[in-house]
Amino acid sequence: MINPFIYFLLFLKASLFSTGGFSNLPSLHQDLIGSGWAKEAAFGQSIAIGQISPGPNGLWVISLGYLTYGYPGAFLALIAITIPALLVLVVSAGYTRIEHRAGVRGAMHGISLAVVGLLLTVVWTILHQPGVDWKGLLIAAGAFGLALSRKVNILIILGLAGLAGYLLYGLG
Amino acid sequence: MLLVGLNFALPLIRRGYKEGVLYLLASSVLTIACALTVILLKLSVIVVILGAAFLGALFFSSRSAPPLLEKEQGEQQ
Repeated sequence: MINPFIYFLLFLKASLFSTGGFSNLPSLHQDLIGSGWAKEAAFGQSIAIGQISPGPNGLWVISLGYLTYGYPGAFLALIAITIPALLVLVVSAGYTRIEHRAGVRGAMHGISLAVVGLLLTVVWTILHQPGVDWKGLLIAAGAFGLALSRKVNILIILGLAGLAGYLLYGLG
Repeated sequence: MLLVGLNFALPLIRRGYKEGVLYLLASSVLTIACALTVILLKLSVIVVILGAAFLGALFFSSRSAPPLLEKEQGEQQ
């Protein structure tokens, strides 16, 4: 049973300690999977929706909220990612005075590196799920290669992955 | 997920190349250390991020590259 208040705080914490885009993913992944309030599939689906849909990448969180807790989840996620932006407006006057300091720049660089490392842990966790087999890895590698080329639309990649899944799992 | 990570990492790698081998090496070590800390020690993500911010302020504050950092943050949005 999801506690709406704790659920909201988890999203707020992830947003407060992120640098935009998908950088709140590792924190949300650890907290929501750990509490049993989300499944791995919800993350994959919400990231795909975030990539396909127009607007900032950070809005993927609203999809995650919907997939894990329905409309209340989407609403709570929306509020949680909005609050840090409002806080930034409040503290921006102070931040502009310190943002050029070497220490602040160094700290921001450290956070960016940590986010990369933490995204790797999410990949690691997914690859070690019980349901992952060579067929899934093959589809993932193909989708990754196509996405990396930046020449194929993500909708086409998802369609091809679905077709490959049907051929490998449905007929196999 | 891997692509998201790669998109995050590319601007940082480019910056590392510009700043020098030592900078790139230190960045790689911090990135891998963060990943291993969560995988092996099961530490909270927030603790790791705060630790990385502290280490970043400690080790990367001697160099400054304002245009690159702004570009890097823009690409992450």
